[in-house]
Amino acid sequence: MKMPARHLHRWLGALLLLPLLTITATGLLLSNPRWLDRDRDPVLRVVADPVRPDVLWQGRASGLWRSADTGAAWREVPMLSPPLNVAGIAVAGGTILAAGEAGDLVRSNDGGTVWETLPGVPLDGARLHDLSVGADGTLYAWTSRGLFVAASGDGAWESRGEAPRSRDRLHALHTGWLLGPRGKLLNDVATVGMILLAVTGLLAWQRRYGRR
Amino acid sequence: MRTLCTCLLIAAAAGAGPARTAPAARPAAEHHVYQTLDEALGEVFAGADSTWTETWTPNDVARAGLAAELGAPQPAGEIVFHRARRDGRDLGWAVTTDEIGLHEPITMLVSVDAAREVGPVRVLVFRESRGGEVRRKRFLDQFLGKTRADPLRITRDVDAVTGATYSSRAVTAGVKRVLALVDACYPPERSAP
Repeated sequence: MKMPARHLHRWLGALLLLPLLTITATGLLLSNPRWLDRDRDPVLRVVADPVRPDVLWQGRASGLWRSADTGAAWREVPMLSPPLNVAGIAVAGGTILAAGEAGDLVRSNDGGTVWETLPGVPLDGARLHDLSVGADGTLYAWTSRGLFVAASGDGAWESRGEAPRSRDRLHALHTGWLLGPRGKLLNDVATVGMILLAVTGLLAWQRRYGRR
Repeated sequence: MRTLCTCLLIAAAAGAGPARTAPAARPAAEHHVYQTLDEALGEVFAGADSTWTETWTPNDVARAGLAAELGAPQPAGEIVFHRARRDGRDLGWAVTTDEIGLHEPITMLVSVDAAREVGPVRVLVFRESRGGEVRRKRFLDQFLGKTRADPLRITRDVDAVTGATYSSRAVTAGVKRVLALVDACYPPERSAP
């Protein structure tokens, strides 16, 4: 009676190994999207300039790009501290703001020549999804922690009520971001360890029982 | 099993904290003085016979030129260039600059040798809650020998510290700014003391 249970346990473990490895490895890749786009510079956002009809702004992983001919050709906008993974672009007259996924923020008041680095949105590991600017210059950042509002770009951001969703908390726990960047690194290392453990476990099992 | 349950409970408690309310919670800004200016100058100008300072207050035209070149505004005010000489030889310049990391400015000292190549870089004051690893020699040594011809961009010619991407970007921006300031104030034909 004991032997069939043990056999069932082993075979079930072996059968579950593939889906376990798939889930773990894909989770690792989803937590580190740059690994898949190592040699690419993915476009994350495109915004048409409401003032200059031929101008488009493009948010990329590497920073902010601009087209002066409705998207036929793109050039990177030179600046000292370009935002990374630009997820939000807001244009109001000559003022252009660009924000990275981590909340880093730059602003140009001269149509895009000189860019000032502003204190970022205090996201602490959450992600910025979009950025817009009101008619009075108020900034709105839509993030995975809800809406953040700032009267100007001076760094005084306020959260407007939206609590983190359960899904965001779960995502932060899953990716390790609940404990910040170090937590994410720890999570990645543990995930790689789990994959190695599963593979070496299978090899050990095969060596011991495979030839019977 | 008991350990697993404990871990899950701790994680759930951490994740299910109270909803954030206005004003937005920001990681508490810490203020780390890693080195004083004198200590840093002693390191970047090691063995100097004499040291002195020179100042430059760029006018509006110069500031506009720097801003256009860097793609970033140059703050108004006096810029202090620390100078040094050893055995009659010019050791170059060292300038402190502040660059915003993710939320707070990082104060650093960037040195440029007489050949206009970046020398030792030191992080003096760090105010962000994370990312202080940029003070480490392993990261800062990447800048040695860089010139204005280099892109000075993280992921291109500078490797960011893992988990400190924005602090790494700020230090890189500081180095680029100081190289531009040295060239603006001391054009190559005027650099000889």
